[in-house]
Amino acid sequence: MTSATTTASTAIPSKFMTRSRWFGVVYLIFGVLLVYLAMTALDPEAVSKFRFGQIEASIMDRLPEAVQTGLKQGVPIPSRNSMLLVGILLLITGVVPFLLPPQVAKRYENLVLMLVFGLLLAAVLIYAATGKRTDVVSMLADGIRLATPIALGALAGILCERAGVVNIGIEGMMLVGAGLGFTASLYLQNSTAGLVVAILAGMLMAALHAVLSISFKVDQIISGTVINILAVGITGFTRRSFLLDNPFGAPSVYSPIPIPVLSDIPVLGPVLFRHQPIVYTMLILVFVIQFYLFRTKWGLRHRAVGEHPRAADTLGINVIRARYLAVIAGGAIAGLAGAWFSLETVGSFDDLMTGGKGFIALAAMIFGNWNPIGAFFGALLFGFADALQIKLQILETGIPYQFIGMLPYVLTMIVLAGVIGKTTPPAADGVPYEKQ
Amino acid sequence: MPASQLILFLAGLILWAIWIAALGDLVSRDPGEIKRGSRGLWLVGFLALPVITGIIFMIPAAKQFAVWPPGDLIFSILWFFARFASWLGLPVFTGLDVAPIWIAVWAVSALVGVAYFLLVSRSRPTIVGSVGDIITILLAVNTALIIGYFLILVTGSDPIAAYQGLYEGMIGDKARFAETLVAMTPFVLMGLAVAVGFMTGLFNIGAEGQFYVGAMAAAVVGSSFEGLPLLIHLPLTVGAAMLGGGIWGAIPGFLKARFGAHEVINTIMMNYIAVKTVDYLVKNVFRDPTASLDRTPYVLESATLPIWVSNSRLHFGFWIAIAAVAVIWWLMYKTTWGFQMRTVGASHGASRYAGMKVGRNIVLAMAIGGVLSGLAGGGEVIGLNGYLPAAFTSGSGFDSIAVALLAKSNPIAILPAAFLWGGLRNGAGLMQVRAGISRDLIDIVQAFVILFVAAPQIVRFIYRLRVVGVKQVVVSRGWGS
Amino acid sequence: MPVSQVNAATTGLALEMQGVTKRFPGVLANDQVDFQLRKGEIHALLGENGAGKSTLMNILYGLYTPDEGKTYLDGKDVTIHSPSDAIANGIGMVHQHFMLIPVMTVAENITLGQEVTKAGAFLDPKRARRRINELSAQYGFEVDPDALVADLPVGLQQRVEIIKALYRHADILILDEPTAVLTPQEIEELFRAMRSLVAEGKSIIFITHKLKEVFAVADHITVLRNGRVVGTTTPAEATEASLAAMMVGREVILRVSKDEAEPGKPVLEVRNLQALDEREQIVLRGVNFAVQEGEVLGIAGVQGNGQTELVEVLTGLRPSLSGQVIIGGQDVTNTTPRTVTEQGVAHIPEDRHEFGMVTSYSVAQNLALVTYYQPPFARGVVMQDKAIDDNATTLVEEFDIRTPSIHTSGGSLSGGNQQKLVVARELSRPIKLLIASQPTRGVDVGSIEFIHQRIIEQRDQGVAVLLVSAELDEIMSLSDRIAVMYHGEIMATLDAETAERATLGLLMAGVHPNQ
Repeated sequence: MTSATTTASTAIPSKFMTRSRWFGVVYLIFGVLLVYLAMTALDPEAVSKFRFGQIEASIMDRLPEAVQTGLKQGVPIPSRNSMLLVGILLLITGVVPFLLPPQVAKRYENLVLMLVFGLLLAAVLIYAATGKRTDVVSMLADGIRLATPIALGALAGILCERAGVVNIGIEGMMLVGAGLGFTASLYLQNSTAGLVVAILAGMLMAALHAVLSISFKVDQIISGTVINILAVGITGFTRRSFLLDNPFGAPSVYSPIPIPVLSDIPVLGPVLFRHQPIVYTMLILVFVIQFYLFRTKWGLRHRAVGEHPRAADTLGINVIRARYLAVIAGGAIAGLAGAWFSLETVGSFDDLMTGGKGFIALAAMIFGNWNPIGAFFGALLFGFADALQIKLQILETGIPYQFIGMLPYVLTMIVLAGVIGKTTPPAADGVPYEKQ
Repeated sequence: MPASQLILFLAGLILWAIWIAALGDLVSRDPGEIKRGSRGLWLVGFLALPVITGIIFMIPAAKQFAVWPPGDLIFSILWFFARFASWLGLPVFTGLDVAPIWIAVWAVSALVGVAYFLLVSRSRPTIVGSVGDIITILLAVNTALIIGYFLILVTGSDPIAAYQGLYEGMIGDKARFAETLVAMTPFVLMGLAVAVGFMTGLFNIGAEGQFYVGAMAAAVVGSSFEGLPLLIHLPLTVGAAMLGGGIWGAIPGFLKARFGAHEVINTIMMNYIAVKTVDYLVKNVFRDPTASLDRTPYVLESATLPIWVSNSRLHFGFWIAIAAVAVIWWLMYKTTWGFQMRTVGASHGASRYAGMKVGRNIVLAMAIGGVLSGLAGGGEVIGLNGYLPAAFTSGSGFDSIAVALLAKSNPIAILPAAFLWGGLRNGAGLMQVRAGISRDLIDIVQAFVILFVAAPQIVRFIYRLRVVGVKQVVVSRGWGS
Repeated sequence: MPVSQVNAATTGLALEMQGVTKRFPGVLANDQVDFQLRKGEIHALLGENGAGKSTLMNILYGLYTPDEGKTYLDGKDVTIHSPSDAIANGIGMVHQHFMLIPVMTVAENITLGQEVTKAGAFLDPKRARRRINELSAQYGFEVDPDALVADLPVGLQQRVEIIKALYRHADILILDEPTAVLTPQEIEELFRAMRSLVAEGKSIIFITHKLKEVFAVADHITVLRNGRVVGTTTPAEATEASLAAMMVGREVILRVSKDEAEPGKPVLEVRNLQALDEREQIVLRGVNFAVQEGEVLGIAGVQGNGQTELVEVLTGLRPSLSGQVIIGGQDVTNTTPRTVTEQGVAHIPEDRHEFGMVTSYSVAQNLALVTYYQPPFARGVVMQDKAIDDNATTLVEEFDIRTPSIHTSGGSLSGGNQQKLVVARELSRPIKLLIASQPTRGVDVGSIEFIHQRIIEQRDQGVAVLLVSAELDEIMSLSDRIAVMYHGEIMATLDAETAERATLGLLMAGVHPNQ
């Protein structure tokens, strides 16, 4: 290790093409493409109509007539001009890094990235909805809904990895949660019992991961893979033994619970406050875990164990116990994420129904630099990409659905390739702790 | 089921474990340490009884396979060898149909083991290096099967019937043995693909995706170019499969080498992308317009791998896989390329210090993995199905990881590992028929096999073994970047 | 030698350890060790690397469980199973490798495990800061509670470690090799702090292997060798020579015998070299020097002043920002390690486990690690196992590498033999330049002498040698010229014959003595 005595008294000779500027170049290319698309592919007369969800009658009545009809039939937006506008905005974001001093540009790099993502999202929507009508609010609400398992998975990952245990088995824990939770809810005819079983199943799988990786010091990625394989076996066996011909009818999924007052706010209400229970739980957990990790003494110890377990040990913190607890708590959250699939979304269980969300969750975790709130934004990114994909399929844009369906996976790879800049995992992540 | 059967089953296994632990201890010791008698003499003692009994049991079965032409003869020898190996390595299976005799054989063998411990080695059995690996893995597989036994018991089925079905389904007669070899072929290639990654310190979960891309490439090339002679068309098709898989594998390798993006997640993402791309291509671009289901046109005769055993589906892909094992073994252990990749796998620092290019070797290892998996996919299309359907799920990506782990990344050991894996998959069907138990049980048993292989400490703990100098695979070095 | 040459007044004992024995697989790390610490004294625990000092103290701090032995604190029999027990009994330890979490603040590091909280759960940074400021003021240790540990210089990090122990009300303070990372001036400062702590009634156990420091600060000295107590004495009764003899069991040759250097033309020239470290901070700030044929240039300096990075840049392992590296007249700036090697450079790396060898490879493979691709080890791409084995057989003999066989894994050898393996490989091919970084770190005395001789042999054959070491004694005894590195720069280059320890010490602290 190098000493910390070095200070920045000597200026580092800086390159002209910084990261931010390379990004700027990419944004410029996007901008030019969009402007070109707007000028050539779009009919100047065409409009894209956007609706903004159901708006309460009491509020609607107070609005002017024109706005009312607009909201009812969809606000018409000229496709070509708005696309031009988005393109120009992108060109601006591309130029800015060249005008700002590198340090300033660097500071806002990720913010700009999110903004660009939003702009691209808008561009795709405008293009897809040309001559058609689509509801923006329902798409945003769907984005949050679809971000739920990813955010929960990322939280599970954060709990494990902040304690120094890499958890590639989140996918498997989710799958077992989904499968066993659903089976239990069916056979006990009680969806709450199903939820409890889902969480317990996740914890059990996590406990296995803990035993393997903490006590037996098996390579953590291999241990996680074992969890994933075991999960496929267990759920497949369960489905064919108990679910294929079961004596019960299809159960209902959790219904949305509108939050009084808040859910009536136009636009914001439907997006945020008319969700099913696991979505709310996810939103609460993001803040609870953020608070736990950074504001409580247990959180401090938790992080210490992941950063420098020996240091924590010399201060009398039980590293092994802390890691066990962290992994098992993570398993509980992953189990909950599993319940989202079977109990909250479709009311059935299919083989491999988690579809790689557990791995995408890890990408969200890395995106958020192992911070719950950051990971939540990462999950939103994937959630919105997913929602957009559904929207595009409905709008029949002519793009093959297989390619639209790839969006989250491609996005994950882009995120991992370091688009978000340098992330730092906990220092002892993936290293088994050997008590001397 | 009667309790006496259960007791026999467990007793037999314990006797076998004593025997094999003592055998391992003997093989691991320096000749000088053996106080009474010589190592050779003890070895004869250890092997005499099971070998003689095994041969006696094999002879009647072998008679039904005295066939010609050469393909069938080689096949018969393989079959005899496989049955015999399973007799020595997997007593859980072999003893089931002849329980009391089997117990007697193992009891006498175990007595030799006990005598050995009393006369020669009074300590806990110590087994070293590769002997330790082999014994640990045998015990792991048997232990997983015992767990499966109890799982079957819990679900109310008859485990003896189930395992008899499983064993016969694997290896019971010529047709089933041929099917096991068919099933094992892609596992050999994909297991090698993962093993090359492990040796280079990479975890290639992308064998599945590389398999699809290879299959797609083979299906397209194999069904085009009518009129080409076999000697050109077949290699061209195989080459296309290898190239497709290779490129698919190299991409995550490049992302790792250039950006430090972790290959585990990227290969998984590449799997999903491959599935969707292939689905699109089969349905929209290369669909056979005359077919009722979504699939590519039939592969032409000139691009089809010939069958080499009469009345079976066993195609030449099997020999390609065997050749691949030899080539990879040579490449990894006898060439500078392999030395570089293995050094990168052992230590990035040391490989840079020794002047090797870490990134280049990562891309190379991933590309080789892709080539092998692509070959597996291509082989399935041009050797087995003749076309590529849209909903083509093999699910063998995870299996290939298991095979590589089971073989401890040793190219030669991939063969028995893939055989076991293909056999269990293949035998599961008959098990389902015989005992009415879902074939997914095999998934669970297989997961336990990997668990015990990945965590040999558990097995050593159960059987009180002391193993020295066994290396474990290490692939998780945080998240790179 | 008698167990104790000092009057043991049992009443004044803060700590007594009796008959402590600790076995590791294949090693008896502590063998019936007796140790007594009086209240309010500084007690030096002296011994070579691997003598069992750290093991004994790790037992006291509850990190190891002894196989036998008893521990008494203030005359009471206590058993210490874990660091928590040690902390509860008023024992604090500053480890050789700091137990600090770089990404956390000073306050978080100090309070970790005994946090200042509101309602027993929520962190209260304000009150924590106040507590730490109080402690700092009480003992005169200035430190900013809100600074990130990663941003602090090593000396300050050490202070944080000491405050960490004081925060937990430690009465007995164990300092494990605290001077290894400090400049001579910082060491003086540490000694002052130790004396003031003792004046406050604390007792200190000071682990070291440096004789001079013992005389500077200790009240009593206990010497360990091969896990046994050789004797206990006081600075007044002992001499450097007698202590050295106790430490190694025989007279030590402190200087390597060598002839006058006959420098020839320059082999390595470094011009205005700049480079960044992992955190993208500038760590080499324009380094200039040259090494000639047939001379040893020693680079002295406290660890972490850019020596590691310098060697990495020279050997092609780290890119440089600007400047030039010229080896044998050829510009090799920012080329690959292989190009540098092929210029006739041998590199004994600082960290043999990270760079120098592959622990899972056999001795034979490790001995072919760098030139595996050249004949006779390879023909084309095919490796020649026979040639590799023959080479190993020869080198194992020639360099006295103690190994059961050439097929044993390199990782199973002892530290000294591993280092000899690296040295053997690097010196077995024709070279023009030898870059040896900490060539004897963690190596037993016998191997040190062997390696030193080999380095001098190379010099005498006309090889240019660049020696980087944090051990001033090693630098002074091997070098013909000494360059002192501080803060990423060469402060001065002195003639080894005339260089004085004090001058070097000042230069290492960044002070020009004649200014």
